[in-house]
Amino acid sequence: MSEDGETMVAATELGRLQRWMQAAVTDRAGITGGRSAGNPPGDVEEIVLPSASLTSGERLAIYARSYHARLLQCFATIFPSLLHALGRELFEAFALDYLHHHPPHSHTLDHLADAFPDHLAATRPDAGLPADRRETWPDFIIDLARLELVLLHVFNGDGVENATPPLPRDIASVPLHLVGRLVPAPAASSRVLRFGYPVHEYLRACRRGEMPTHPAARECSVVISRRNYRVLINEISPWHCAFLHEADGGRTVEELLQSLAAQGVEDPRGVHMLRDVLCEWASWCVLARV
Amino acid sequence: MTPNRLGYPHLGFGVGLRSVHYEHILREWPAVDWFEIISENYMDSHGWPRHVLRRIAERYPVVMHGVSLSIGSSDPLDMRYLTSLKQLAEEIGAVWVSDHLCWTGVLGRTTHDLLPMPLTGETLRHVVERIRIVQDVLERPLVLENPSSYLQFACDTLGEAEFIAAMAQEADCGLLLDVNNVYVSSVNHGFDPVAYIETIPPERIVQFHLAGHTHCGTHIIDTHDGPVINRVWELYRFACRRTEGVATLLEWDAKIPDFAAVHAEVLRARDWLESDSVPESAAEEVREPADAAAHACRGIDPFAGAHPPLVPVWSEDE
Repeated sequence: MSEDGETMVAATELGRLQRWMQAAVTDRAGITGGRSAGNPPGDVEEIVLPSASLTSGERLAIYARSYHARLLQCFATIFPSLLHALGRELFEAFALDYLHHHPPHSHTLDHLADAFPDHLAATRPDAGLPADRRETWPDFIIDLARLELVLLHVFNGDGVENATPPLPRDIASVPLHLVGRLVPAPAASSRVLRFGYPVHEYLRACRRGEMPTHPAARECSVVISRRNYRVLINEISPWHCAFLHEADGGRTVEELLQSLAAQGVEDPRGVHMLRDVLCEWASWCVLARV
Repeated sequence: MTPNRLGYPHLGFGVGLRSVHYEHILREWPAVDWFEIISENYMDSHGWPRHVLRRIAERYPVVMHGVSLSIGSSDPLDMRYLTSLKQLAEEIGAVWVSDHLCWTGVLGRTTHDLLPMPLTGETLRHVVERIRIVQDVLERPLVLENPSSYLQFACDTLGEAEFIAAMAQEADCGLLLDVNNVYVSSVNHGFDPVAYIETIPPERIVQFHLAGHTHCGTHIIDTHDGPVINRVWELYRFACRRTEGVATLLEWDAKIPDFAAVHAEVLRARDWLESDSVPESAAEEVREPADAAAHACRGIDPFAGAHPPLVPVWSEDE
């Protein structure tokens, strides 16, 4: 057999061993999970040597414990406020269930939990009930998870630090009658989110080291942006939220206002106030250009 | 005649760059010889970590140390990962790029751990072939580290040092000798750490790692959470004499003290090499009581020889 052929055979055997070990290390059932891997190369005692003080299974279990502990610690780093809200036991149960259904595939841990809010929504205990008969606390938990995940993505994603976003004074100098001709484009680092709970206030309280309780429901909109590599969270009005959702960098302010009006979403304060709002958004680096 | 290091320089005594020290480094610009980064912490970052790295790379030599190359996996090499790795290396002028002799996952998954290789002639050929591909892509010699490990496979036909020596020669790659890992694995598997170091070709060694660990009574876990113990210092000096000195880096990934304390620990390496005495404040091995070992080691830092979470902590504008 050629060397290439031998290497392929070796890779096949290696693959079989590695599939078994990965299953054994990552399965929620611990190392017994490896036995459920397809075509296992044998029992653990046949594959792993014991040491002077540990059995084969105990040696393998070091890796299994480490795998789960490491990823749970990553979850705790990504979702510190969610950890506070749920308590460690429930938080880890949710995280482990998620990891079982969504094992990591990327070399970066930034995307480890990308589907976690959706997973929480899909597995909420009252998922099968009509919306009006559901409990409210899962909504708060899901909102909080969404917020903390977005913060991570904004922190590590593209920002405007090496670009020249509009300055507040640039917008302030635009004559009022010309504001309608501006073409606002949100920065890649900006996110607009709607929540059923003031989760941003809850998160701030956690960061201050307080022990906040679950807040009362309150619909709110926030814009998350990044300025000089720091993440900003600001609450905005529902109308401004709709405006930013609509802004696509291709339509003028006038066209956006018309589009919103056609949807029945109107700002009673008019375009004059909008210039001040655009200035404020520019100060938060929400806009890439106008 | 020993120094060769594939032409890589002796950088002196470096420190692993960790986010808790960013502020101090940017404020004080400490007199450190060089920094080592965890490649994956920066490859996909377009935010503060990457910005800090760029600034640091303007002033210090930087070496890239990866945890996700998965050189021993039976999965195909991840070309997207390699391209990103190369891009970062070029951007910051990395002096060299290293990773571990291990695998991290199969079937497209990753465990984010450094899993041990079965050590056979077949797996040796598999790894050598993949190192050559990686070196072709990166257009530079790869440097690979001996991992700490907690198990050995029944199918092993080679010792780890023997495997690594052959791998380095056949793939023409460099080696990062983690002296602490040699010690950890020697206790876990019952081999002679001095014989291990004697087997490693000294002219291939580009870098040393030093770190602390946790002795659980029945085994040692490579936790990178404390000072270097005396036995590891002794092995380090032995290894240094064989290589006539190469770049040395201290890893501290959990319970990280302030920057000055981490830097002081690696400077003990320099003092240790220049004197015959044990470095001041060198730590003694601390063992958990045997009956408490199982419990204690369930609760210790979980990184077990891998590296800390790559997830950055975001910061909110006040």
